[in-house]
Amino acid sequence: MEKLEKANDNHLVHAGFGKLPLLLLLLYLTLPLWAGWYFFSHLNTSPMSMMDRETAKAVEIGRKIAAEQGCFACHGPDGKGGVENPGHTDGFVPGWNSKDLVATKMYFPIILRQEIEKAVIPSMFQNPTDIGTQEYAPFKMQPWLGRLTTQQINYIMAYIYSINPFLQDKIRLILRGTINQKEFNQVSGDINPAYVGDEFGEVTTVSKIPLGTPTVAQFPPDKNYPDKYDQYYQLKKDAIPPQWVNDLRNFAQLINLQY
Amino acid sequence: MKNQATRQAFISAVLWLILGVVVGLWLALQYAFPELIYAIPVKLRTYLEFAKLRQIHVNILAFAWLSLSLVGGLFYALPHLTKTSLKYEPLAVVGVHLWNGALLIGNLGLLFGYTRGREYAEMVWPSDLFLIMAFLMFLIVVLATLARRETEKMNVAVWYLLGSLIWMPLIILLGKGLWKNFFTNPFSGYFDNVANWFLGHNILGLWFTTLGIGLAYFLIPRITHRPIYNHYLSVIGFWTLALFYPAVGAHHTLDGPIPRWLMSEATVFSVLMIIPVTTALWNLAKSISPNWHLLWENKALAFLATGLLMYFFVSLQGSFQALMFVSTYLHFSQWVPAHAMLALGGGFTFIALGAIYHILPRVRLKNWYSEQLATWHFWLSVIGISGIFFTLTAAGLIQASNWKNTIAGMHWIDATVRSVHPEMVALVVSGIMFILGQLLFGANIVLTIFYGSKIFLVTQADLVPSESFSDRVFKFEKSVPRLVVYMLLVFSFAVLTTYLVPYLSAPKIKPNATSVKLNALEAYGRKVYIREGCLWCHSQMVRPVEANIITVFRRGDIGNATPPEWYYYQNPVVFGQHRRGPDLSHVWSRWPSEFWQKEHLKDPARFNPGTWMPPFSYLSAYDLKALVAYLKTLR
Repeated sequence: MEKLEKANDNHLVHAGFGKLPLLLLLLYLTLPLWAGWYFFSHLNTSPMSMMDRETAKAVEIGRKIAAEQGCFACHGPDGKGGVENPGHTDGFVPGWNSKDLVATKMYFPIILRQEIEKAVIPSMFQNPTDIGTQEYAPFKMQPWLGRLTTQQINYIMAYIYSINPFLQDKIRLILRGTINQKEFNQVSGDINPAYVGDEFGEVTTVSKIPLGTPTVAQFPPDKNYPDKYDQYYQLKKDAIPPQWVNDLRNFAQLINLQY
Repeated sequence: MKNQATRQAFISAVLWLILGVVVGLWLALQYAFPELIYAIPVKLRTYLEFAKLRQIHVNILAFAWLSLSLVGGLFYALPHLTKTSLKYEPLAVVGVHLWNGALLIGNLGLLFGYTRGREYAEMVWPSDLFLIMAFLMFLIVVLATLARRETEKMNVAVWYLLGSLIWMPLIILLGKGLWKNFFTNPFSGYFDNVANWFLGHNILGLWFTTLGIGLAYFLIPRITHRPIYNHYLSVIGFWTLALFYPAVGAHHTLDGPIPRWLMSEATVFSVLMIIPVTTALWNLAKSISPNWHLLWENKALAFLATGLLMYFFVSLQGSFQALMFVSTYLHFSQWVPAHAMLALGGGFTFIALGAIYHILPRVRLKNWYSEQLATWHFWLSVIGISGIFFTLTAAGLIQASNWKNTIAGMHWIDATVRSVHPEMVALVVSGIMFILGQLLFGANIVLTIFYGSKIFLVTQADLVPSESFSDRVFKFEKSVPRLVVYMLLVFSFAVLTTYLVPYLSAPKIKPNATSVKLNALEAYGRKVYIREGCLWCHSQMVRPVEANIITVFRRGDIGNATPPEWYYYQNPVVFGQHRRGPDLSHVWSRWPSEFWQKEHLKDPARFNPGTWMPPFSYLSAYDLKALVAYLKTLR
């Protein structure tokens, strides 16, 4: 390899004049049109943070989504009073403004969200096959996970909270700190070492299984559940997790609830 | 000696390249085998932990290797484009070494914890000083050369190369806020985020892209002995790039706590980028196409064409992922580093390598020592970078889909880290191949310099000549002042809409109850957070679409969406672009235990085996206390 082709700089002076391709011309025409449309149509779709800003709107959007998705077919017009459901203990699908929702602790957004997303009700926390009062009823709640986005479900939840005075009373009480429900362990069913707090002064491992792995995986059936976690459970079982209260505050703001 | 600037820029660039890819391999090894850090003595861990070296990896490869090699190409191209010699060449040499000095100081600073904590703007003020001085010298050399050019009109390559040198210093001055405070970051809250991404994306758009495409416009006619395909396409491609590219910065925080119109503008201009990209690429491809056979004969053209192809693909990918619904799905995952790797490690690195393959023999007057080494270099680089891109992309897709499904109770560490272990091992293998390629390249250069045969240039005859020439000459092609004024005018559109308007409207956001104000200890803890590089793996931005989704344990969840007032006092804003660790906006709500936090910081693998987080046991007791005090404010 002794030679290298000589570069000719004359080609840098001239410029060619090849054919302009149709594809590019089309792009030049269509993309700016799309850009203008996109920019102006998306200018006001939502402000900086949907959850925090659109207070009055969220409730209205929630009602609209619920109407479109057919929620009111069972839960009654605007969700206020449900249709007959003969096998159900009450004989009716619960309306969204009924007191039943307090009995099933729907004032915690995490529980209401599970009900909507997975049709999971508190009786199923202990026994997943126990669908409670719906067992012999023709109309059963459907899971909406995958059919509605988290955001849409948030809107529907805002609507539910806005029309149910019983839930609102409860929310007020919790946010004022006057009641401290015994809910801590209802959802996940076990104490996680992540939550073992400063009271114990040390972190424990069980036979080399590292802390932080989910508790179910951490304690195989043949291992003894250490006392520490029982003690901790006794200590903390009456507390409401801070995130649940944060959630509540968020929804209270969304429906303009004074507390 | 002639061409000193190019020669010294190339040599230092290649040295930086090899250093940078070796650092990259260590990072990849930490992904694949995170327990490796435990084999390092505790005192040394601070210099080898992931986050610090990640900053150094990016800074070395982007600002040292790519910038220096492309600038070296510029100093070779300019005399040939203007048919004159380079004026004040010693100044250019000094500029190159000032650049080296800036990078040396900056990277040593990063190693010892001096960082601005803003992505692509990490290096502290002495580096900025050196860089600005280097830019001034480069500008003097380039403008003086252009002033005494022997050609009446300037080639399209000159527009791109001159534009880079005009825009880039302005971008650094504006984006880092140097005009307001040279020594520390002057902005906070909403505008800090805006300014940071004005800088962050324009470094790609108006520095690497313009230098790379400029060199391609210079090298392709030179190698193929044909003029550029269509002059109008050159004009359209250049000016649309200058208009569209600088306005896309906000797509890094899509759906975040920034005004909606800014996001829409970022999305719109990201998609409009299809126009300059397809235009320039069509133009360049058509310039090569009558002589496709050269791809097999000419290593420089092979590298250039491959780089341009990767640039084309990565640009379309960028437009795609700047769409809101795509971003909400993929953002924070390893998809994003994959995209950045293909742009800088693929596209522009290949263009720079092509430039070196073409230019080095001509400035050294030696033939390449071994054509075979060059072939190995090419294929190892292609396979290496493809491997890096596809493994990271696959990992990103896995993580994104897992995060959407964590509502079903998937543990965060399983969703993010353990599930991508095979991909990370493949990443290491790809990285080793890429490094091998670069080592062969370095060896080839050394052998060429010492043992290369004397060059003798011949004219290649069997090339297809061009049929048509354009005699259309625009006014801006003939006058440097006019060209510079047009460049500044077009650039000012983006400065106005994505910098000045946010700057003026930022005071509208007032602090409220959610705004976090730190006391002295917490503020020091935040400094530790930035110094140790926590922000390079942990985001602090919850988007409305994912608010309250359960991502950590079944009980904890990611928490409420980030309101714009929340980060009012933050300087710098530490939103982060990655979730190699979980989002920390509400970390204290999920893990409200000082004791647990400290234990976890000291030895995270004890709690989450296989975690990517390095052990911070080397931190002093006071640093740990302050760090935990800061975490306590993230409720």
